[in-house]
Amino acid sequence: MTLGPWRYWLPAGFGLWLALTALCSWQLGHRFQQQVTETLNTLLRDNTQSIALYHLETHSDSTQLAERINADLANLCAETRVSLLRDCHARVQRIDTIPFSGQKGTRALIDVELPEEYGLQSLSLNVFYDYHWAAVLSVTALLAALCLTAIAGLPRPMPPKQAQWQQTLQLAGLAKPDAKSAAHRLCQLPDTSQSAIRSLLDAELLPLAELHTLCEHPSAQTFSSTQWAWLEQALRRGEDLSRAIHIADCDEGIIFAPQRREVRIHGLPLSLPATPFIYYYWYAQRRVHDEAGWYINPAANRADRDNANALIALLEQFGGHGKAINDLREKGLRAKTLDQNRSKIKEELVRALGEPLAQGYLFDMERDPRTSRNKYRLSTPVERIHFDA
Amino acid sequence: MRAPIRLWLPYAGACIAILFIAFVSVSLVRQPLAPISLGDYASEFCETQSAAQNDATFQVLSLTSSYAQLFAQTLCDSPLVAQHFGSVKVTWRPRGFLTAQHIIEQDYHLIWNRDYLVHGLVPEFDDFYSAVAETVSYPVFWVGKKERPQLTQTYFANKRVGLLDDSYSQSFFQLPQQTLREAGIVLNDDQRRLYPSLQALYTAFNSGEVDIITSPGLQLWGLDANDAHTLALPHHSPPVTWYLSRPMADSPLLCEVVRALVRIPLFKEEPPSPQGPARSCAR
Repeated sequence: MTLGPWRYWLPAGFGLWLALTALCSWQLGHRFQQQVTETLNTLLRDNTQSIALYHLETHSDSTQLAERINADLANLCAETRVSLLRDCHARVQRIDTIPFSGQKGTRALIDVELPEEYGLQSLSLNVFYDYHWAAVLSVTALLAALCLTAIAGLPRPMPPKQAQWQQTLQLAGLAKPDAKSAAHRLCQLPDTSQSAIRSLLDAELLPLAELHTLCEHPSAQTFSSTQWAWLEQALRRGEDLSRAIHIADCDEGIIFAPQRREVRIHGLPLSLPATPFIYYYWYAQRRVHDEAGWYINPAANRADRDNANALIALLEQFGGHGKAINDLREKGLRAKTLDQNRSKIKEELVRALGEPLAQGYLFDMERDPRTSRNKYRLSTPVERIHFDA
Repeated sequence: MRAPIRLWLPYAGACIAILFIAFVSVSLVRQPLAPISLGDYASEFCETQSAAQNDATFQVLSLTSSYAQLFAQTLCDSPLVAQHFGSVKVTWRPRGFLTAQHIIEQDYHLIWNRDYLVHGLVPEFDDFYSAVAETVSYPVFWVGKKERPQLTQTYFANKRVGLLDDSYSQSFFQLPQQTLREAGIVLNDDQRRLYPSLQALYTAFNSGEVDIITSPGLQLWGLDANDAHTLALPHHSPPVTWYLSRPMADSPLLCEVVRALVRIPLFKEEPPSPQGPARSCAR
């Protein structure tokens, strides 16, 4: 549950508090006045005789009578633990035509018509009370806080995409609160990234524990679909997530490390069997050093001796199979050998990278018009081929 | 990215419902009233020195509020009274308030009323109370404006007479009507005006609502002495007696009470004369 930006909630809460306080104090006063008016009206009418007889057989000052009535009306509010009103009292303002002083700050005036039989006609009372602001504000603050807590706790409507993500993640086994926040984050990624991550989850390549890491990574915002494909492939090959991200971030290209018999394509390390590796290396060298990089397959009856020697040297240098070396020595470089190795290379690359990603690293074929034989070269452009010392 | 508007409607509805509940709750907050009761204003109350130990109250039934506070305080200050009572209450009521039940049950220790009234209520009144002091019989006067009243039909022909609406009242009800009847003067119903209190009666006289009233002595309330003309009624108002309940009349409290009575300025010119056993009280 997020509280959202404070700049909305704080003034809203404050406003709510004020509104509640205004309503509370108004209705407290209003209700109290009503009650008091009703009660005192009845009380005074019932006690008219007592008041009227005060002057029995004498013409004395009414001040004492007023004081006695005031004393009886000095505490109108019940003393509870949380009194919202205090200092509630009433004072006589007038008995018939005789006025009394001390009426400053009155909240209400009660006019009581008395039964005529006792000679009195009317009596007026002033009602006073004060708000116990500490109590009132506390009560309304509490209410406002409860209100806001309840509203903040309400489930917000979710964009359907986010709901979909949440469901997917929950089905995958993520706990609801985590699924919710992850879904929220995922929705903010570009569509490419979202579908890529979805397929990673479907293929069970991405452990749920690492979902957060991936989402938070800046690359998640910027990777193209090709880069996502590389990431997926890296994960398939058993790389951990951080390595996979690094790989996906690498440039297209091949890096040859013949000492380790390792070729790294788009950062992804592959190990080819010795002989195909050398042939791959040889084709790469040709591509780099020779402008076009094409090598026309030797004719069936005339094996290439020169290139055979070059290949033998490479094989010997980097631990190629004796059989391959002998084969070259005896028969020279034949089309069949090349075709076989290229086929092996293709097989390995496709197995390792999948057909679409492997495409840029296989071989181009053309028919040489002059000799009517096929010629092959490494598809990868020159600038993308590197050799590690 | 936000959900479309229609998905926000239930959320908005829930928010409004919560706010509504909050405002309704605030409207239900109330401050309860304390239980209020008005006292008996037609009485004076004070506590004696022994108020903490003694909750017995000395009850006095008077006919006027005049000097009731002074009388109560005098009794409260008395150490002898304090020996028996924790407080004193002087209540005043119209003459007709007293009932046979009050007398028989001795609700009041000291009663001020007229002889014929109390004996009329309870013939064996003397078994319950004994007379201890008596106020003098006093004269009553017709009071009119502009000219001196005359006890003639001619004079009364166009006059409105103000009376107290208390048939027990000598000065303000019985005596004036008795006097008129004896003089053969007949009044119409609308010439006779009844008022619920003395204050109302005197106010009516001052305002000119009635032309003629009666008054005991020469106590004129707020009347211009030059404007008031009087004529004495042929009969005096009968005396009013103080009665003390039997058991107390035989105790030392008797003299204490009489001493207090005598001090009331109401009777300054003519203090009540002790009756019966009270005569033996030292002055």
